[in-house]
Parts: sequence; C-alpha cells; structure tokens
Amino acid sequence: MLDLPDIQGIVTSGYAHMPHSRYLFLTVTNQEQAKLWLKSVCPHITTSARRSPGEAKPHFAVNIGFTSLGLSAIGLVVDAVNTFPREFLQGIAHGERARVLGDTEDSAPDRWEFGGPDTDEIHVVLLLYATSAAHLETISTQVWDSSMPNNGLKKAYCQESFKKGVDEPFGFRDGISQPAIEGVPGKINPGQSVLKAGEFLLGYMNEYGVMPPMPTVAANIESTAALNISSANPTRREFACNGTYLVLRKLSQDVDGFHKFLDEQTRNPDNTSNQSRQTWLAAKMVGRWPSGAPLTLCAASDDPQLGVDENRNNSFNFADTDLEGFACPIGSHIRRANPRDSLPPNPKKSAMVSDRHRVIRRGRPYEAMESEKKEQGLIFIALNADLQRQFEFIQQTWINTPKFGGLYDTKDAISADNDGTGVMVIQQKPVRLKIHGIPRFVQVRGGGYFFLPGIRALRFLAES
Amino acid sequence: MGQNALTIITRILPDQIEALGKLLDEIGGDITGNSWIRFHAIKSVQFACWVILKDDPNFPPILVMESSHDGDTESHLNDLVTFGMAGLNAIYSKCEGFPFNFATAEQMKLYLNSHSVSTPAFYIGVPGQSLPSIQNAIDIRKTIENFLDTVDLTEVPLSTVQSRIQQHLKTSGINPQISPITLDQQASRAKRNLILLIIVLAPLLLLLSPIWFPLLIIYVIVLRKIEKADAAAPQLPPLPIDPRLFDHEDIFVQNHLTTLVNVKPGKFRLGTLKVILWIISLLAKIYFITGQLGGIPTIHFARWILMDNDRRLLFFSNYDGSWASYLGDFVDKANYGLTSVWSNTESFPPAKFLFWGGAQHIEEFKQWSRQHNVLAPVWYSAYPDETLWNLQKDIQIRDTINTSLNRAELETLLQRF
Repeated sequence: MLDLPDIQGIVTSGYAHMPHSRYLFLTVTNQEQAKLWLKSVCPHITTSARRSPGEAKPHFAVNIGFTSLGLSAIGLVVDAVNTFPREFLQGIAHGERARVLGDTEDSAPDRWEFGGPDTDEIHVVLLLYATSAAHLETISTQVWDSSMPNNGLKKAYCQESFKKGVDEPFGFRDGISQPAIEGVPGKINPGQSVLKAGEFLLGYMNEYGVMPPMPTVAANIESTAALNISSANPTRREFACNGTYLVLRKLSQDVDGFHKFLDEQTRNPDNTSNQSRQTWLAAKMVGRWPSGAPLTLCAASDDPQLGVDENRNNSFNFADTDLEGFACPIGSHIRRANPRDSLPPNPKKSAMVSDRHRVIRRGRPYEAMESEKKEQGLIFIALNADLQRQFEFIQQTWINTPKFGGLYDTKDAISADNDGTGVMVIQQKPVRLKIHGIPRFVQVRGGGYFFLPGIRALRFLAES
Repeated sequence: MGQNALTIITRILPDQIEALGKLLDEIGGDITGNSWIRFHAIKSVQFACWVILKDDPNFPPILVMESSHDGDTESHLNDLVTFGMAGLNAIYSKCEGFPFNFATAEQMKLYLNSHSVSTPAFYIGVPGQSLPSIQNAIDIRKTIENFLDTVDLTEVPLSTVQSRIQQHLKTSGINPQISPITLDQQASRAKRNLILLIIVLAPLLLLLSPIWFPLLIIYVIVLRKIEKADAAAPQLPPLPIDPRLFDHEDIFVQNHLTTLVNVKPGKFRLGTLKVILWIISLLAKIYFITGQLGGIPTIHFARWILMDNDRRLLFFSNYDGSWASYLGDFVDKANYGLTSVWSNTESFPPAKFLFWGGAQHIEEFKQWSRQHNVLAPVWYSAYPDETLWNLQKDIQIRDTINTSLNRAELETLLQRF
C-alpha cells in the first residue's frame, strides 16, 4: 500500500491542467528563520492524496525539494545527511557527475546559469504550478514572498515555463512513454510499463525485489516521532520514506541549428530544400514522427491519428518486427532512452533490464528572448529512487555511449554530448545510411539533484 | 593458437611501496608512449595490468601482474622482456627476492616464472582469436566502412555490392585471415559440449544419488545455518573507497575492474568457493565460449585467483562500458553465479542458499564492489575502443566477406555495419 498523503504530488501527477509553472531556487541564509518559513509552507505542499469524489481540481500545486547542501543548511544533522548516496551528496555539478553525464565544454557546470560552482549555492527548489498566470502569482506570493523580510532565504534563480501544447521545441510530441507506479490509481495505457513503487519512491520494494537503501536519522533526536523506525536498525528512523530524487536540468535546444542541420543534410540534387526529407531525417533521429507516432508502427510517413492515440502510440516493441532498426533506427533517441525488448541476450531479459532503468519525466518547455534571439528548450525533470541506476545510467550508458546496440561510433543525435563530428547510422537496405558532422543540439544551462521528502519528513525538517 | 592467462605475484619491499606506486603511475599515465614498457610492440598481449595490494595490515604489500596473452607462457615472457626490460627491472627491483641490479632477459624470465601462479578460473570473450587476428578483423571492417561511406550503393543490386566490397579489399591490399573456428562453429561447439556434459553427468548423478543426495541435504542445512549466522553477525566497518578509481574510468570504451576480498574463515566457505570456481572454470572452457560469461556479453577477459594461502580472492576483468552498467549486468544476468562466488567472501550482502539474495541487493552490492575495488595504475588494452560486440561483428564480417553467401546471409552481413 502506498502512503499517498505522505507523497508529494508531482510523483503521481504531471499537473497537466496547470500550464503555468515557475521553479524557484533558493539559498538558506538563516537556518532558524528558514525553518519557520518551511513550517509555514508545509500546509501548502501538494500531496498525492486522491481527491474525494466531486472535489474540484485545484488551481495550483506546490512541491519542494532540497539539494544535499540544502538538507544540511536547513538543519538535518550531518550523520543523517551522510546516509544519502554518493551521487546526491556530490550534487549534479560535481566533476565526477559532469563526466558521467557528459556535461562538458559549453554544457560544463562552470558555465551554468544556476546550480554550478560559480553561481549561488542552491539549497531549495520550489516547484509551482497553476491553471492561470494570475493563480501562479497568487501561490507564488503565498509560499515565497521575496519582499517578506527575515524569512531566512534568498532567491538564487527563478525559471518560468509555460506549457503551450504537447510538443517540445524541436517540434515533437513529448512525454508519451512514461512508466506507471504500481499501486497508484489511474489509467494504464497499452504498452505502458507498470513498475514497482520502489523504482520511484524510497521505502518500497523495487524491480529487483528488494528494498532500496534508506537514508535515516538517529531515532533519539527530537521531533522524529512521526518517522518510521528503521527495520534494519532500531536506533534510526526512516527519514527518506515516501521521498524520491528529482533531477532538474535546464536544457537549451538549438532549434535553428537543428533545422539548419536537417536542411543541409537533405537538399535535393538541385540544392533546394526538401521539407519532407527533413521531417523524415528528424523522425529517424528521434524514433517517432512529430505527431508522436512511433516509427516502428508507421515507418513510411507520419500518422497523426496514431500519434495522439494513447491506446496505440506507445504500444510497441522492437524485437518482433524491428530488431534490425529498419523502421526505428537502433541509435535513435527513443530506442536509447528506453530500449524495451531490443537488447541482448533476449527480448524478455532486455525488457526486464529496460524496466530497471526508467525515470518519470515531468519536463516542460521554456522560452525567453535573449538579445533579440529566441532562446528555448526544456526544463527537464526526472523522478527516480536511484540517481545512479536510473537517470545517470540512461544518460551515460544509453544516450551518450558511442557503442549502443552494437554500433561503432554513434551517440544519440538529439541529446548526446556530440561535438560536431557526431555520427548517426540509419539502418536500411542494402547498406546503412550514415549521417556525419552532428553537433550538440542540446546544451545544459543549469540544474540540480534534489531530494523530495515525504510530508512527514518535511515537517520533521521544519520542526527539529 | 589460444589465449592464456599469466598472473605474477610478488611481495613489495616495504620501503619501496611509494616509489613503486609512482613508477606505475608514470607508466600507466602514458600507457602507449612510455619508455618503460612498449606495450604496442608486444604482439602477444591483449590485456595487461599491474595492481598494488597494500591496504590490509593483515597481509604484506603485494604486487600483482596479470596479462591475457596469445600462445604459451614462454613466448609471451620473451615478448615481455624484449619490449619491457627497462620497466620490468624498475618494477621488480622494488620487490622481494630480486637479487639483480639489472636482470638479464634470462634472469628476468626465471624470476617472473618462479612467481607466476596458476589461475583457477579464466574466461575468454572470443576464444581462439589471437591479437593479429583481432586486428585484422578490425582493419577489414574499418576499410569496408570507409568504402561504404564514400560510395552510394542504394541503386546497386545486392549481388554486386559484395563483389564491389571484395574488389575494394583487394585493391586496399588487406587480406582477410579467416579464423580457425568461426563464431558460428564456436556456438555449435558450446551447444554440443553442454549436451555431452549432460549425457555424461545425468546417469552418473542418478546412479550415485543415494550417496550425494543425503550429503547435499546435510550441506544445505549447514550452509543455511552458516548464512543465517553471517547475516546476524555485526557488519564489518565499511572500507574507504579509493577516489582515484573514478578518474581512471571511462577514458576508453573499455574499462578494467580489480576486486580483492577476504574469503570468509573456515573450511566450509573455502571448500564451497573452490568448487564453484572449478565449475566456472569448466564452463568457461566448454560452454561460456560464445562471448557471454553467465549471460554477461561485455567481458573480454576475466579471472579469479585465490591468494595468500587461500585467504583472499582476487578478481580481474576487462569489460565494455561504464562501471554502473557492468555491475548492473552482473545483477541482471549473472546474479546466481555471482552470488555463489562472492557470498563466500566477507561483507557481501546476505545470500540465501548460496545462489539467491546477495547481489540482488543491487545498491548494497554496488557499494560492496566499490569498497573492494583496487585501482590498477597500469592497465593496457590492445584495442581499448572496441567492444566485444563490435569485435564479434568484425570477426563475422571478416570471416564471411569472401565466402559465397545467399541473399539472406548477405543482407545479414551488410547490416553489421
């Protein structure tokens, strides 16, 4: 049984009916005041508790996360902080993590707008969502009024995002393939993996059939009474129960560069642009058509009806009909991000392995004018119970590896750390087509590894 | 010509540990360009490394060298002393029992030979493929790749594609040196061996069941009792993780892993471990010959060594991709085998009935692994950017490109690029 009222709402909902969102990154300047502030925010935090029948949909949602520095800054004792895993303690901008993630060159943390070594230390992220711009302002002022003196925090960075439709900036329908959490009520679409809660929440059995390690706090310090006693060690309490890890990355997408590249690669013999060929190449890179229709199900051309149909647009596998990648290339983005049943030694094993490396995505697009130029991209958000085994694994072992699926020298054409000499292989008969000279279309501009505590743990943080 | 394992264990002179560490860092820091050992000139070595084991105060400081090489020990040692005499002298003059100022080739070979130990279990990713054969396969594939990049074959009939590739190879002057055993033959050999093993074993087991079955029951009861006691025993304090490990990883597509653990005390655990290693060794020879070690498809070479009077277990492996994916593969594909080996060693996550549990505790297992990882300051791979999967494809391309193929076979071949 999932303890839904103790779980933050973003774990079980993408707040699809709230297109307006704001991400506030805060630095604790005074621990005592910050705790009082946190206490005042706790009642506003949106949980995963189901609405009672007839209850209207809310107009806004608030969720909160802490970096490892943030947990210390708000007063969690050192021995408790140290029970968190290495990746989280280091933080996303640490050199080791940056290497694992391919955050190098222009994407290196020292060039970031926030969350890097040269910008303000980030301790807290407030995730605010609302049905309208006015409601967003209302909730913003309620939970974080920067004019309020002495609240013990200062704003390090603020990011707005507005979800216009379902497309990401390159023009593709996004967020189709999403794992479901076992035990959370809701519709399961055909082809959707239903995974053990322990893949996305601490304190539950995971896909390995074991309980993941649980960050704990000493049982004898005050205000811990609401936390469960650790089953492994009765002198500790489960601080992280019902919590999860949230990865946030501001990903700038070079939309002009992307379209220019597609154009250059697909010119007609008379050097005129070939629009349909451009769409075809982009679809081969992604693995879906712009509508979301998977290439494996419609290789020849886009099928918008299929793209929007939740009952069909994710209901496919690779092994049966597309193992060779003639429809959806082996190195395409969606095949790397979720290889499904396509990897050795066999489809069953592959599906099992793929299910052990999934994240729940809650990303939203952003855009802004920067010196007369439209700057746009994605505020990528991923939720998982194990940063290394899930988010980092996908990025390192599938997206950024030149050797994915037995290939020789090709990284993800869309989102890998390509350097202008990137290669993409499109399987076809008699021999493959090779695209050369792929640059990095997606740059990292900021980010953080956050822990989203359960509600009881949040109150403990505010009160201890 | 098969590949073989050479393992050399020497004690380090206590006052020379630091100097040896510096020297190995220097060699490893420029693995192909250093003047101590000219690895690229040694045509018989596929993988090699040196590790220093010095952190456990219960054991003397030890230097271990491993190489996975072609042919017999004698000719491999000849190669080593021919191209690495300066390095070998500098390294082993910091070890015990080395009475020379500068050993001659003969003296060095004698020294190395007398310190070499047997390898109870050794796994080979592509058995029977010597380094020249591997390099030939890589060359052939790259030559064809370049050809395919420069010509447009979309309108060319399939049958002509093969002859044009053959023609290109000819004009490039590269000859495919066909493997003595193809990968397909290797696969059928593995199947045949397994059937033979069952045919031999099944009646024997059946016949002798009155003897071994009661013994097995007793064994399992004792085992479970010991496992429960192990699980209840207070945990040993966690070992520090060597931060240098992270800087040495993911420089190439391939990586190296050295794991050193103490065998749990008592004859029961040691005996179990020895039997398991013997079974792995047997299977590595007759069944794991198709590029999968218990289902893991990314290992080029692996070996287990019992050392210090069977008190410690050393594991070396050379694998593809990130550490996290390798450890994940272990758990996803080889969980039982892995747990049956290492549940006999200290601090391993608790196992049930030897095969279950254990590494299934993925996070504890990874933590355990990191804590027992030993840095290899010198690590050499002759083809560090080639995955085993790449290699298998290259070998298949090389072995079939000049043969007569039907349409389906030819299509399969062309899809390997």
